[in-house]
Amino acid sequence: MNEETLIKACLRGSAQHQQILYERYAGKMYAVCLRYARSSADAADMLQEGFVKVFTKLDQYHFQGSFEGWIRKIMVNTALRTYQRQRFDMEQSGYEILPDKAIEPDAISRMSEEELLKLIAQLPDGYRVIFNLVAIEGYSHAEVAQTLGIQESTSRSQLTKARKWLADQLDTALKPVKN
Amino acid sequence: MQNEHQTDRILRERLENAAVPPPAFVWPGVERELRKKRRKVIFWWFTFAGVALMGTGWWMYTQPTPNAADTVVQSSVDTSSGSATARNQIGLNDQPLSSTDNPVALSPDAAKAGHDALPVAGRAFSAKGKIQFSKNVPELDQASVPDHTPVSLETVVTDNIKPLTVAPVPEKNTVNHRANTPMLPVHIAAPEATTKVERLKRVELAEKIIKKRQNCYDFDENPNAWLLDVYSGPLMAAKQLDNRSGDLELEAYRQKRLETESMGWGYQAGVGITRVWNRRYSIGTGLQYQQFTEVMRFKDDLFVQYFTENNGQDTIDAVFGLKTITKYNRFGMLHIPVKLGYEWRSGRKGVQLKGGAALNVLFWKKGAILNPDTFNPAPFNSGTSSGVEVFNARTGLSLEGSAQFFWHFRRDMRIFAEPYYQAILKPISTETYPLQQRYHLIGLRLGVSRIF
Repeated sequence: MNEETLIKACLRGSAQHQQILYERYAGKMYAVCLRYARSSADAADMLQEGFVKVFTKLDQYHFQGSFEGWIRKIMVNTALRTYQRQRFDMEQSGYEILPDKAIEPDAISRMSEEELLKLIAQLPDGYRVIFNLVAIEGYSHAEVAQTLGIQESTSRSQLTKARKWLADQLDTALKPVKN
Repeated sequence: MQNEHQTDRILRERLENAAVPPPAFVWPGVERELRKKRRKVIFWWFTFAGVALMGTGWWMYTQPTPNAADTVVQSSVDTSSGSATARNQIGLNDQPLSSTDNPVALSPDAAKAGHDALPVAGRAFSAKGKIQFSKNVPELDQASVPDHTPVSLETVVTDNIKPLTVAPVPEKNTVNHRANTPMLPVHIAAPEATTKVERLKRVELAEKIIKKRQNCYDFDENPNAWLLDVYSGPLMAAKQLDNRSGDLELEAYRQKRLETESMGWGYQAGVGITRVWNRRYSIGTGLQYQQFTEVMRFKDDLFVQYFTENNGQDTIDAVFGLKTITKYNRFGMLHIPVKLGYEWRSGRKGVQLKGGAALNVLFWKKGAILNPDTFNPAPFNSGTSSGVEVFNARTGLSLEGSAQFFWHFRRDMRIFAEPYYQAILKPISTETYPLQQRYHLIGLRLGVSRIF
């Protein structure tokens, strides 16, 4: 069944087609949610909330642009809303001044997607959201600052800290491989 | 910087199309939420329809009646081919009718009092739309028609009436008497009714009275009736938290709870069946569902989170500051009420005062509350180790009082708006919970009643 037929059937309220659509995109969207969530339980909640929005706002999709991109945007917005609902003010973050440390691209290539997702899920809340938005979704710091209601400088510093944190974790994770 | 961009690109490529099978419980959750949303949509449509119905009814009720000069009176009379006799019979001749032709007479007092409209009773409406004109109608005024008597003025036409029947003619021959003839074809004669305009006014007034009584249930004739009500509307739940012990720490907890929780807003809907007896007294029961939501917004300004590695031995980072958690606490109650009432009516409108008790048969709740020991949010009645046992399984009895303002839009149907107050008699919190939590509910029922 092609995408347009499926969407139109969902718009008519067919529960069977809604399930087909869910099954088609749930895996990818769950991976998106896992990147933003603190735990897999939070990610499942986000996925549920996101798909409820997808089905209730489906009439706002005008068959222009990628449908998967439209769903992904809803999932990211749902994740951000969840983050803002349980917001952590991290302006005073850190015990120590962390030196800049770059992530080795080679280290990333050697990890599976699941391992990468697990690693990102372990990032502290503020780091994780900003890292996802900037490094993976491609948002600018200005856009992130506007979306989250923070300073641009905060967004930059959080991203730096996130990278440092990830680099440390990658070092630790890949040590046995290096040896 | 170059390295960072390269890292981001690789990460994006690897993660953009990553897929992880979601847990099996997510789809049933999505289905459940969609069902809830559909129910909400149905409820709001129902509420909207109720409000629209009431608005339309009110608009129709308050519409000004066109004045006599603009009244278009149509009858099925072919004036173009009518014989002189027929024209005489229905008064189409442009001659004032003499009192000798029409022994219907109004007393001067009645005429002065403006009761002169009802000589039109001489004209009776048959079920098929024929118009009958009669002579020798006895004196009649508005006061002589029993209150709430349904339309049929035929009932007041006496035996000595000699009706003249004008049969309907095809639609195309229907004429506008005001436009085409100078006089209304009604056989009325009263000493004061010297002008055609006055006659028209009388006809109009009489028709208005008839129409009003058509839309009004005759409780005089049928003093006992059944009413079936369907309603819905908004609801406000005011919470009362009592600290009976006077303990200062408990008082701090009570204050903290009041600070973190908002007032409840929601809706209610239900059906009811009422027996009216002796015209004004009533007793009713039914099913009433109420649901409301309270928002709990908790701010922890002492929040600290540590990030460690090497099995918690090394702390690599920490965040501390303000943490805000928002939870939506939902409560749903199903009641069976029993209410006594008394009603006053004036024409199509009226008010019914009701009072009674309601027994709770279902009480469900979902949400989080501050734990009295830790002052941190914890789910209530969850059965988990972090949960707090707060609420009873049922809310028990409650007392209710209401005033229903109704309006008949048909003889056997009426719409109503009913503000009400309901107090739940016992605390809904368990005896082991240190505070006593009570509720007072204020709502507005908008609905429709069918009279059988």
